[in-house]
Amino acid sequence: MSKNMKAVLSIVAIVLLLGSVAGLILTLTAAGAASAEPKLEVQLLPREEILTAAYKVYGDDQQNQWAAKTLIKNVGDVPVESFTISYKIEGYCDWTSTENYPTILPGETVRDYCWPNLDDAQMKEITTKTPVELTVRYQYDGLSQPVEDTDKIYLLGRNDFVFTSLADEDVLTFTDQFDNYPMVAAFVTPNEETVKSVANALAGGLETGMNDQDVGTAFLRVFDGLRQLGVKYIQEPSSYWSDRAAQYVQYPAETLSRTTGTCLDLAICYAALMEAVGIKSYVALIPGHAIPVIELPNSGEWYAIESTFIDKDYALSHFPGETSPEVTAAECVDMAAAELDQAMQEGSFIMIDIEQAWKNGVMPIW
Amino acid sequence: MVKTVNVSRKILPVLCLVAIFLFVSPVVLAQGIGDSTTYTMQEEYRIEINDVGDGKITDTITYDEAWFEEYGSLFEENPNLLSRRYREDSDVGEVENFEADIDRGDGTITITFDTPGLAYNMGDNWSVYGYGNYEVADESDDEVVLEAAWEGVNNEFTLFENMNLEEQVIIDLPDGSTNASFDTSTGAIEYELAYVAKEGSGGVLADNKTLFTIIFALVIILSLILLLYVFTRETEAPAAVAAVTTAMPAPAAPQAPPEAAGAAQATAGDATAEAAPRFCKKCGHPKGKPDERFCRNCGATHE
Repeated sequence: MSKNMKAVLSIVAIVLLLGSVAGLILTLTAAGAASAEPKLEVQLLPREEILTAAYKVYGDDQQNQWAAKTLIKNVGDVPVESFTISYKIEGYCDWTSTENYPTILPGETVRDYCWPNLDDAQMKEITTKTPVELTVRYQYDGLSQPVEDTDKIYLLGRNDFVFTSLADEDVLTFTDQFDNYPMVAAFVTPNEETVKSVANALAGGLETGMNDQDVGTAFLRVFDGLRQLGVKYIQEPSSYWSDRAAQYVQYPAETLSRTTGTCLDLAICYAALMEAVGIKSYVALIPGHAIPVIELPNSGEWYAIESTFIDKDYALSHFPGETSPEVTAAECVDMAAAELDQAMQEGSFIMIDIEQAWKNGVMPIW
Repeated sequence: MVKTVNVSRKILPVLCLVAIFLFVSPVVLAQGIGDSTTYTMQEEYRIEINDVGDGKITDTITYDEAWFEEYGSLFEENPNLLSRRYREDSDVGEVENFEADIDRGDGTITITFDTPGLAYNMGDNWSVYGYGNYEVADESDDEVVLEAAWEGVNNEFTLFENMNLEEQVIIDLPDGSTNASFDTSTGAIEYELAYVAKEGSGGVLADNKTLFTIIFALVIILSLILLLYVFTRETEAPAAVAAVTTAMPAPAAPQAPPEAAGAAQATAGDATAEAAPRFCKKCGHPKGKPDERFCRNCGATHE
C-alpha cells in the first residue's frame, strides 16, 4: 500500500469513526424526547373528614360522598395499559374492589373514586376525631410491582356532626349554615333495641301506619312518656374538635339512657321513636332550634311539637306565662306550629325528610 | 287531638324562599316573597370533548328578562354564588379555569370551565356519565343532544327561588369519533374513537433510535477495522524505490565533447582532487586553464 493510499484510507476511516460516534451520541441523547416508557402523574386527594355517623354513605357509589379521589394523568408518550387501582383505610377498611382502566392514552386524565365499605364495629367505637391512613395502590403493564401512596384522612367521632362543609365566605343563606343537613338522618336509629322497646311500649295498640288519629295519639304519648322518663333539656357541649359550626349529637338510645338532650337530640330521638312504629318523620331546623315533625298518613299534613318542653321545669323557668303550669303536649304542639309558621314566612327553615335521606344512602349507624 | 301545622307540603317549596335575600337586601326579600310568578329559565350546557376525554364546558343560562333586570345584580354583588359549588370538595381536580360572565343586557349568565377526564376510556369505547334523566334529541357521529325539563329548581342560580328549567345538553364529540349513542339505562353517552399514536417529538434519530444505534455502531466497527487494516499494512514505498534504483543505470556523467575526452581522461585523477569543474557548465567547452574565469567558447563566467 502506497503512502498516499494509506493516508487517504486513514482519513476516510477517521472521518467515518468520528461521524458515527457523534451520530450514536446524538441518537442516544435524543432518546429522552420520545421515551417509550409509560409515565403517570398520580395525585391522591382525600376528603377532609369523614362524618362517622353517616359512614355508610361513603361506600355508596351512587352518592357523591366519596372518601378520596385519585387523579391519574398519562404524561408520557405511550399508552398505559391495564391500569388497576384500589384503596385501603388501615384498620377500618380492607382493600376495596379493584377498578380497571384498560388503556390510558398519552395526555388522558382518569378520575377514580374511593368508596370504602368501612367496618361497622370499628366505626361505632370511634368516639373522638381520629386520623387514619388512607393508602392507594395501583399497577399497570411495565411496572415490576404495584405502587402505593398514602395520606391522612380524619374520621370524626361517632357523635360529631359538622353542620356545613361550605367555606365561611360561601355561607350566605340559612340553608348554607346547615348544608350537611341530610346527614342528620344517620343519627335517627329506629332499629336500635332500646328505641324499639320504648316506641312499642308508648304506641302499643295504635294503628300508626294508616290512621291519622292514632298517629296523633302516638305522637302525644311519646311526649308524655319521655317526660315520665325524666328527660331534661340541656345546652349543647363544646364542639372543640372542629373549626366549623358543629355539635356533639346523641343517638336516641343515648338520650333515653342519659335522659337529657339538646333540642336536636330530642328531635332526633322523637323521629326515631316515630319511625320505629312506622310514622313518617322529619326534623325541622329553624334558626337556633330543631323541632320534631311527623306526617299524617292520610292527610299528608304535618304535625310538630316543641320537644324541649318535655322538660317542664325548663319551660316554666325560661318561658314563664307562655303555657299553663302543666305545659301540656297540646300546648307544645301549638307552640311548635307557631314557630314553624314564622320560620317559613321568613324562609329560614329546613325540613329534613328522614326516610328520603335514608333512601339516598344516609343510613343510620345502628 | 291532632293539630296540624298550617302549611301543606304542596305550597312548602313556594314558602321556602330566598333566604339569601335576607342576607343581601331586605328590600329584595320583600319583593321576592310577594312575587308568586314561577319563572322559566333555559340552559344550554355545551360540552366539547377532545381526543383524550377532557371536557370544555360552556354553560349558558338565559333568565326571564324582567326577573333578571330586577335581581340579576345580586349575582354581580355576590360572585361566590356562581362559583361556590364548583369549589366544593367533590369538584377538586375536576374544575379548572372557571369563569363566569354576567350579561345584564341579554339576561344571561355564561359559565365556562374545563374538566379533565370527563369521558372514561373503556378500551373499546369512551363513556360520558351523568345523564340518567335526559332524553336524546339528536344523535350523530360528532354530536349528541339531550334534553330535560325540571320544575321547582331552587338553588344559587335561581337565587333560591323556585323556577322551571328547560335544559339542553350538547355534547360535541372529538373529530373522528364514530358510533355515538346514548344509553338510557346508564345515562351515559358512548362513542368510539380510534387511537392514533402521535408522531414522535424527538426527531428522526429519536423516532428511529434502535435503527440508528445499530447503523452507527456498525459504522464505528467498520471504520475501526479499516483503521486497523491501514496501520498494520507496511508502506510499499522504500522497497520499491530501492528496486527501481538498482534496476536503473548509474547517472551518466556529463558527456565531454570528443575533442575533450583525452584531456578529461588525462585530468581524471585531478578531477577527484579538485572541486572545480574543468568544463564550462554552460556549454561544456573545456577550460583552457584551471583558473580560467570566462569560457572561451560561450563567454559564461566560470564559478
